[in-house]
Amino acid sequence: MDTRPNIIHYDALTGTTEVSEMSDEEYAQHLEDVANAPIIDPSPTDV
Amino acid sequence: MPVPDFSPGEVLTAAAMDSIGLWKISSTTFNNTASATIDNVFSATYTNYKLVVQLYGSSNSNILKLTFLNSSGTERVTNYYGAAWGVDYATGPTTLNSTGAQTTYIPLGYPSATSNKQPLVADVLIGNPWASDTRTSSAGPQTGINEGVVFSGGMTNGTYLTGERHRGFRISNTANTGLYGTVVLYGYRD
Repeated sequence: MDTRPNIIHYDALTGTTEVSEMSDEEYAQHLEDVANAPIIDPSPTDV
Repeated sequence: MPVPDFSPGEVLTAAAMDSIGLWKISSTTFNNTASATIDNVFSATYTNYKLVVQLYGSSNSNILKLTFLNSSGTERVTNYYGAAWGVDYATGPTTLNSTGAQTTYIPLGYPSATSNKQPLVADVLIGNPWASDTRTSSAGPQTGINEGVVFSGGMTNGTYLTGERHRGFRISNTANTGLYGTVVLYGYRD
């Protein structure tokens, strides 16, 4: 993804939902994780 | 006789509402969401809970993680014993797959890639998280056990290995990528 993922915090006591952006550090880790993720073909070619 | 036995136009009493066996507690929509903390949803009102997960992600290598929040709202990140496991049934019942035993979270399975939009679907029973003297366990069927292989599915199960009260939970993923879909929590009336 080239857009920064968000983080949700929901509190049932107050009924509030907060949506915040990833920190720069978390986003850098996210980009590294995505770049290093193995590519796996999800098509059912092994049927 | 229909159950509950309500009449058209009837004003529902607290007792009538309390008799309903399955109650929606929270519903969370993921839209490029890396994690969601769902706090203050477990209570003494219900003993057991049903967690319905429908999520797909941006990386096939992700493991979807379930962790619990203690009575102070702090996420527990150690002391679990859990796995998601099953079969790739395109290649036969002997092709077993597993996330392996995990101790820092309970694996729910592999959310599939954004490109094919095949969500990980899991129906997870969470047993008595509010009790302070018993371990909180979870178990249920799920799809997507084998990292993006579409013909696969199995089970998830796990336990928090110390008896303590949990008031909420967190859904996240090992690759920390944005997920799409919904997570809904219900309470079962005893």
